[in-house]
Amino acid sequence: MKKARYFKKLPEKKVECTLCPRGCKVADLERGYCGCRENHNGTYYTLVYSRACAVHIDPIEKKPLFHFRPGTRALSFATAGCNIECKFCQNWNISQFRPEQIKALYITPRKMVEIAKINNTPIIAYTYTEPVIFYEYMYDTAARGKEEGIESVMISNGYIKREPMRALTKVLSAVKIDLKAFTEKFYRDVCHGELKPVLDTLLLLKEVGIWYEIVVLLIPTLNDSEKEIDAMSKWIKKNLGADVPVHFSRFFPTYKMTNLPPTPVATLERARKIAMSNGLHFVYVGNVPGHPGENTYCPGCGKVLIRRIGFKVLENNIKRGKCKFCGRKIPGRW
Amino acid sequence: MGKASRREFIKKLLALPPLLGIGIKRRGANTFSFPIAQTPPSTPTAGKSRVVLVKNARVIDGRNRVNRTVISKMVNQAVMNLTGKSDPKSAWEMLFSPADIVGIKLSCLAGRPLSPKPELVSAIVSGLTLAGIPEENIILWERTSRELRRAGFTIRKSGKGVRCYGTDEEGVGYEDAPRFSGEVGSCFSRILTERITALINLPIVKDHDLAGVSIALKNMFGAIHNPNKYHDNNCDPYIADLNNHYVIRSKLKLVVADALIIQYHGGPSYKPPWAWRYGGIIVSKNPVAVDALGADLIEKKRKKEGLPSLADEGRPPKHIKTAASYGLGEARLDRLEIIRG
Repeated sequence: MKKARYFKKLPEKKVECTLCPRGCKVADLERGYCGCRENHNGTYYTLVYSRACAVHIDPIEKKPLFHFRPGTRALSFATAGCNIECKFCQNWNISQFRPEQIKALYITPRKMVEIAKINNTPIIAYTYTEPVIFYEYMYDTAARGKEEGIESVMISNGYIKREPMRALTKVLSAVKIDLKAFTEKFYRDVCHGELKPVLDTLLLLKEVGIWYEIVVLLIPTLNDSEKEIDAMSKWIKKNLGADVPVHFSRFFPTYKMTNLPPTPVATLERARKIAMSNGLHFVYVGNVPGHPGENTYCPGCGKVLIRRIGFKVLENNIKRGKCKFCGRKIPGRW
Repeated sequence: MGKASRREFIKKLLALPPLLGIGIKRRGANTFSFPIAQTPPSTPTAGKSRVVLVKNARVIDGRNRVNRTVISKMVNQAVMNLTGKSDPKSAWEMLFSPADIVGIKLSCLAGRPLSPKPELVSAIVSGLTLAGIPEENIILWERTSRELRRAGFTIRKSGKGVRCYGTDEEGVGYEDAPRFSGEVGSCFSRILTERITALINLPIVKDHDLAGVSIALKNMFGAIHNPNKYHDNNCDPYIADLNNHYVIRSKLKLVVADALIIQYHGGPSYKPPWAWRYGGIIVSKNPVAVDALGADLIEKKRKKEGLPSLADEGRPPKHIKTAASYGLGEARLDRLEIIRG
């Protein structure tokens, strides 16, 4: 067990977690909502430090990050736990379980960086579950990686408080935020979370200047209305700018949401069209391998900059951060 | 293994997903979800309004040691009062059949000082054997074996005698798919769903910082994989929803609440300043009645000690009323048949 980095002591040996907006108040011997932080005698501990329950090497496109080191591989890992509960979680077998219920390996931050280097993966991704809940493990790994020339990317729901997120951006190179929907109702009813703190996180990422991308999983009848996509994309354009990549991804039934069909491709295409008509430059269709909406197009000349099929990059026409056809600067980390 | 060969080994391990022998378990094609199992509210089952409270000043001494003879008599007396039978054997036979495999769900979060006393558990096991149940068909269980050990129990998964282990033991675990009941969607312990035919709920009577009290109804949080997700709004309606699932409703045969020491403030962990040596047990077929009576004991003690009520502290035990509204039992003390022994 390792002492948690963000908590406050309360009377009668209780603690208040100050890592995520939920702000769990936790009695002695109890855990917070995430299930992986426990109060022992008035001190809060993380139960998942160095306890990786999933470790893989993935293409960076799988995260998905399309404007960050295209074609590279990332050593990707997770621990058990999550600070929200999406009824459609694809990785619920690890995210919605408690650490003692999941097999894990003891891999220290130093060892994780070593594994990345041995396998020639220039990036470490904190992913699959919610990295906020293994904050200390992620931070220490990212800091160690930074010292050794390994970049770190966080694949997150963005449900984190300002101070810990700001501190984290100093050791990360990129962030992907899952924007689950654009209504508090969806966050409350389907994810047991809140929208506003996630929007605040997006604003913070813009403020500090770190590279970030947004993914929106569109679920039939729940968050796929034209009105909602319109409002969301207008907010992004106004508050974050036209250059932030937005991925509209296809939902497949799973976990507690098996009563809905997969998202029709037409829905994703319509969302993409709305977002682009609202001025966003880089809007993608996700989870539909081979769809033209997987490609990156130059906002200047319209030509294909990066051609993709699934997670594979077939062609890359970005040279020194610019479109090789018209010379327009393309935002990203190339 | 040398440094270079270890590196080579790790490199090979990382060559193909899933790596290192672990990864995201994929659900099989045959997995399925259960429909929401909402049983319409009904009147409490006949006989479910009876609750027995047995107290004995000699059952526990000043060092919290339990007198085996006294606790055994208390348990048998309670079961006889509950069933209306005049001898322990007939009373236990009325509740359990020799063919039953009985799971006793303990509540061991707080460690030895505030977990069900092994002497009480032994007395219940003796009663079950009177009903013709072999010791090997009795399972003491909790979320983890570690919790059981810390509470003073010995882990035993096979061989002669009573079984005792946590859901976390190899080969046990939780079901692959969640079951649903109202707001709750959880994977249930396979001990509950696959290994036992009858359930005894053996909680502690204690205060809880969020739910108000943690007695019989809340003890079933230890049967699911994700109780941490169900603590908002004083754990309401989650506790009631969980207890309303047919798996629990159909298997629950008896509740024996350990009120030898009642934690009336500072729970759910053991806090000596507010630990009350009460020397009692509460027995019923009805977990709602046990919770109502236990909560009443806690409230009265709090008042006596000059503490605010649970409601005044922002943690009224709402789940008891909610469970009653589902027809899981009677919560109104004036409607309960309380037999004091």
